[in-house]
Amino acid sequence: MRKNQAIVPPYQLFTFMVVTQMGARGLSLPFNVFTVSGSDGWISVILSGLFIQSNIFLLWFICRKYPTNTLFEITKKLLGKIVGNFLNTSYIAFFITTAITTLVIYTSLLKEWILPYTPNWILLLLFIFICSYLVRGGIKSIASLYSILFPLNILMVIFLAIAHKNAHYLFVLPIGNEGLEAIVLGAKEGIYAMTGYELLIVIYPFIQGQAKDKLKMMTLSNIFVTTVYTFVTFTSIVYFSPQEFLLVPEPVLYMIKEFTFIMIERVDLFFLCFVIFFVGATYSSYLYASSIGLASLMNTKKIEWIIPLVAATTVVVGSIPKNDQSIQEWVKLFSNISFLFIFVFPVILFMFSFFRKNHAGG
Amino acid sequence: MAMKWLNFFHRKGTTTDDTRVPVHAGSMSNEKTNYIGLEQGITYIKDSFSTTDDLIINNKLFHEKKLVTIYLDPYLDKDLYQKAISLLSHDNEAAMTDQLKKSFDVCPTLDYAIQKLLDGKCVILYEGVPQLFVVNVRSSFHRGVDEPINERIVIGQHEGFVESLKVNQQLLRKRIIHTDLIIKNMTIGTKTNTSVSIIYVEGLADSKVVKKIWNELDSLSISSVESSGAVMQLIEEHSFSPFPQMLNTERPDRAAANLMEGRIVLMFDGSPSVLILPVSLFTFFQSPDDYNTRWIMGSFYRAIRLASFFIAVTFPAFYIAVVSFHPEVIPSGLILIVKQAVDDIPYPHIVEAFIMEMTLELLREASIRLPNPIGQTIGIVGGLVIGDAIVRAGLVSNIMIIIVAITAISSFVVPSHEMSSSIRLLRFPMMFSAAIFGFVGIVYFYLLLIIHLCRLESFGTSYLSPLVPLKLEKLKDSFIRFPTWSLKNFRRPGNKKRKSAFKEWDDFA
Repeated sequence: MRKNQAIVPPYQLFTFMVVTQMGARGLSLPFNVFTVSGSDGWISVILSGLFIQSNIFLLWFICRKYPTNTLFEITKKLLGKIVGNFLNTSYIAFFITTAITTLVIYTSLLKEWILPYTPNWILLLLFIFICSYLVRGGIKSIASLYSILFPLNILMVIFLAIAHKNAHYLFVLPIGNEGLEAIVLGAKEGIYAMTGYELLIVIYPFIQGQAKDKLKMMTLSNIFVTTVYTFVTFTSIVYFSPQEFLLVPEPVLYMIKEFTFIMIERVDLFFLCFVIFFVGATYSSYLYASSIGLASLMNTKKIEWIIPLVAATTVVVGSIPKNDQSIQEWVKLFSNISFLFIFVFPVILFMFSFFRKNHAGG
Repeated sequence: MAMKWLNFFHRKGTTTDDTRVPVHAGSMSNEKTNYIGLEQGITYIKDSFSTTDDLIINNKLFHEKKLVTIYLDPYLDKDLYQKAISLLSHDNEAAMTDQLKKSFDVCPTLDYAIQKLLDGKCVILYEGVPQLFVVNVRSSFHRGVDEPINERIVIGQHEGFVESLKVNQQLLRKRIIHTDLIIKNMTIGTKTNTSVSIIYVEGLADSKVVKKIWNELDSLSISSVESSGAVMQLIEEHSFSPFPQMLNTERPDRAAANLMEGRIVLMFDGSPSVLILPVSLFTFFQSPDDYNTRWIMGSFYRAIRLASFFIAVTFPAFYIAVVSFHPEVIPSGLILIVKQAVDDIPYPHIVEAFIMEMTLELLREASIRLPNPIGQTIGIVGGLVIGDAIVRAGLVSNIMIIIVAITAISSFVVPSHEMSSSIRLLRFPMMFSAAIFGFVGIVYFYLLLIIHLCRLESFGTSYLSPLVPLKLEKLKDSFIRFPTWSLKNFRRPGNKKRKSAFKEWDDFA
């Protein structure tokens, strides 16, 4: 690997995180949360934001100790070469799997909403070609792209606000109806939709600025994402009646589908087009993370070979699930596993870094 | 670098091989021949020029000694020549030799004299004097500094660059009257020996970029330089990119404004267009008009131009995607009109769109080549006959005609010819991808385009600057143009707030 250079301005850490975290999963987030915690879903989302904030602190503490190393170097330093490489391998597998999941959700969205007759593989192939082109440009061009995509995000949120025209605010009452347990369980769904922040531990050395600034940017991005997702969930809850809600797995799109304008109809199609940008961003982030992970694991500099290889793998595996049922199961299983990587492993790393205080700074 | 297929757009156009010996002016032959005597000198010069007929060797007798003047006939200005010779008419030989040494430049070698001959100087040899002299007899002519026809503006200066390097330099000098304006000269082209100037403002321009450009030009080993456009292609970094990485302009005011923003101007002798670098995407959408009118108008024009970029690239593709993939986005009021127009077209919409776009491009190309009076005819034939007949015949829907017309107009709004061509070209792949994947195709192509723009750099500067990396101060002059007093270039240091121009009125109150 080349020496890790800080080449990304701090504000792009904010946009990187926001754009990575927002994606196709946000479209079905309100539904997933609603099925668990009902009309209190929006509280669950705030709760998951709080959990993520604590998680960000944890990751930041680890990164601050090793400001010039990525995750894949930190693990080796803390746990030794063998255990470290084992952990790295599993992390790479996790990142690749996340990329695959993104692709799977994306294709099922395209199939259902825009292009029912076009074969998946060609759409995916073009998609990964474009994303590999981006990732090959390195972290600098990735961060640049995301900072351009960020304003689109705000546009989409403003767009969603139109739904409040037909909202019934009584649907959220009584607050706390479902009980504390349901709310906490719902938060789990929220956390899953907001993953992406764990990439901090991979991109940390590339960000310019003091550790404090980076924490500030991460906190800001978390506040932004949590606010937007809470708003999305809240909007969906007050828009659909509780009986209707259970019938719409992508409430955001169904909601937007109802809007009509004088010049244009079926605005959900345009909205989905915007979503493609963000799906590409999420996918590229994970493609990047897994590629530099693999490059460091194999101790090679030829990252330009690894990127298309990883991308091809994701397409092959991503084309396997055939029906909605298997996709749902896949996503469910995976969301449980991901807790291991975003929470359990970082805790272990943190503890080790805590005990290895004297060796810090490398 | 491996994986060329992904790196397709980023091929390095030229090589900067430091080991190569740079080709300098006058080094057509390496050995230096000194002037020994009259006969030797004449023979040497004659031999160097071999059989050309325009080398004139004049023999005169002054005080019983031979005075030989050698010049190239096409360069000769008769008045200057007469003036130079008349200076020499003195009573005695000593006074004349004295005058010769006083008023003419001495040549160190014969090769230098040949170089000067090629440059339009007259070489003077006098029997008994062991030196060569040169005097300028070059006639200079150039067309007037008229406004360039492809970059017209409404309000502002109406001067344009011409084919003469000296005149062009003067046009810049008189706009930036300061010692910080640096003009560096060099020659490139081993056969044409074209003069090139690198012009920048010391302290504003990035010295690293200046040095890089200097080395790049210095290491060019080409025999001829036809125009600035040819050199542009040799020194640009990403030659497979559809976007121009240098701004090509014929306007001195535009060049001067860019110099003041820290950019570098490359000027070529014999070329009326100068190259400005490094540029960003937004540079191509700036016009002197923006700054010469009030800022509200300026912002409006700027916004219109940027909107035209998106219209010109997307509109036909959008039409194809809507009609062939997503007719559901058309509201009920419009659907009947569109259906009526589109239903009877016997082939896919991409074919229909392609026919019209190609017709338009043909018309455009034809109208450039034709002389002015016939150009009008093309407009009538193209616009009225084809436009009307093709719809009546049912080959193309009338909505398509509207779409193509709007697209064409938008693509001509961009104030840079290079960028306008790029935009016209980008329309076609966009149309094809829309024909295959509908809206998704458009999004894919845009994603690819934005990624490409993010990766693109123009001499070390991000192509999307000041948007990426974000510079709020400079962003004031990108999408819209903020009031002039708020822009950094116009603001006096230490005096951030504008003073009211009518402050004196307070005294009367």
